[in-house]
Amino acid sequence: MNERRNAWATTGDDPVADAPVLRLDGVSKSFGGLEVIRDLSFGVMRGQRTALIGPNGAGKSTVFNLISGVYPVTAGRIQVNGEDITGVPSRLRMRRGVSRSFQNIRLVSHLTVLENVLIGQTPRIFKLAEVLYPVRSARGSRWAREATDALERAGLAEFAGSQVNDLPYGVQKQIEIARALLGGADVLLLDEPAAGLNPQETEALKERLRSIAEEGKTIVVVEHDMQFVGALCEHVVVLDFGQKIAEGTPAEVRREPQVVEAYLGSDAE
Amino acid sequence: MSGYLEGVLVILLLNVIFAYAVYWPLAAGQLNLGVAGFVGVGAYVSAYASNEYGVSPWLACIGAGMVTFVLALIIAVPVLRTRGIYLALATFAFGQVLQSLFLNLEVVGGAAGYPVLAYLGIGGIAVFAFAVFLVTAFLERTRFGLNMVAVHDDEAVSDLFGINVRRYQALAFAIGAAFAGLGGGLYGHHFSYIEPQNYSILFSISVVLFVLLGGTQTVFGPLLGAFFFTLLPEVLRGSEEWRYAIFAVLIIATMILRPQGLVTAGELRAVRRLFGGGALAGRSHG
Repeated sequence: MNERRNAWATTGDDPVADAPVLRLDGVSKSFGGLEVIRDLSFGVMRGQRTALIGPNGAGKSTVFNLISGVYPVTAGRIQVNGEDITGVPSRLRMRRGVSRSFQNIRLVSHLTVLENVLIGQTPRIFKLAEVLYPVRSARGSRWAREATDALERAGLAEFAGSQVNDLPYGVQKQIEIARALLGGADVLLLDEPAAGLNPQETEALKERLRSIAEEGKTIVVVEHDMQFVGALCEHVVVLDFGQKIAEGTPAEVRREPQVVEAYLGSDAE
Repeated sequence: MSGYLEGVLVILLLNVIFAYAVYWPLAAGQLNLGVAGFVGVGAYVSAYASNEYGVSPWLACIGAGMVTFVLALIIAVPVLRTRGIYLALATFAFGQVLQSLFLNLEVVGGAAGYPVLAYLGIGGIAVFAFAVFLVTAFLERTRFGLNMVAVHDDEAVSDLFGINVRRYQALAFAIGAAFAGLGGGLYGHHFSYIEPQNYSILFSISVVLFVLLGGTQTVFGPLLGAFFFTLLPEVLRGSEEWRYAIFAVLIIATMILRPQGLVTAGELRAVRRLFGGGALAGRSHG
């Protein structure tokens, strides 16, 4: 379970057992004539903690939007659990295995914390009887218990009945993660989970994400906090101007001259 | 019961039904300004069924609700392609089309109106009004209601979490229309006479107004709005010709002082916590 895998580059065919849980192949995205993602390929192994980094405007959030289906790709393929989801509508992608949080918190502001987490279970609801079950009033039901447990594990139990808007930013960020987890997806895309958190909260988040990964979830973060990335992630993909410029362990990518240049600018000027 | 009191109560009960007809689309983020049209369809369909085919007024009214439900689902396809102000305009236009249809349908009397032979008393109307409230209050506690709030607040996120946004919007629109049709049928069978002028935009707007006054965040908002809107003019009756001016001032004051409506979700939660009610919201962790 804890065996460390090396960074995985998408070249050649791999046996299924060793196939990445999330895989992008030659993905491109253009808005009008502007190409924001160019021929991007990378793979993420099960249980791995991956960071997608790069300067502002490198296209990191766009990659998340492509994986979760907010935008269609212009070219290329996206696979989850070996299944091609490139043409799957955004509404069905969580059922296929990718869940996400958002850079700007997107909780349902008119619902309580617990109710927001209940929304996270939607991808696993199929029966009409479950849709018409008064889950908001039945605290003992299977779904409500599961949601309550999820809040407890995230250390958010005390906020279950609060309205989300009244809560501090750091707490709202954690609720988003708890909600994203309950959809049953294998891959968790977290868009700047540490942004706006204080040092203690950041530390707690790191621990939480580590234990989530140990339970078998695959985590991909977009993050600016390089210390956070170095401490959490074992696999880093660096983007600049929509292209992958480096991939490897945090230590490896830090040595890449192109990465240094992208972050600090070249010496030429 | 005095005739006056009964008259006021009937209007109140009907207004409760109409309030939920407007509340449902609003709960999904849509402003339906064509509700009068659906009320009219319900009134004419049920009146025609009981006049011409001897259908019992109860069945005729329920049937009218089913007809407007289906009609709304069909209309939802083109109408829900529009958003915001354009959606309001599209529903408004639809209501106008229906009103002119009633004006020109000679088979139901056209502009001269249409007498309704069968009669339904206050008891029947009360049963239906209560049922409308119960159905709404129940659905609000389900995942269906939860998803409806999500669709109202954030369509993109709802979609990503697997909620079929268009389906929820269409259903909210259609459930509202069903209540409108039911209310229309009850109105006709109680007052024994319907005419196209009843189903004008003014009717739609006044219902929307009192639902917004009551608040759209909880199921109790429309109820309170209907009470407020029906009873206040009666209470102000003593002030003679100043009645409507005072009423208007009170409405404006309410909008300034309570922009989210008379009841909000947060307050309701506070009340539930106070009484340790059975809602999730009231749960405390020890």
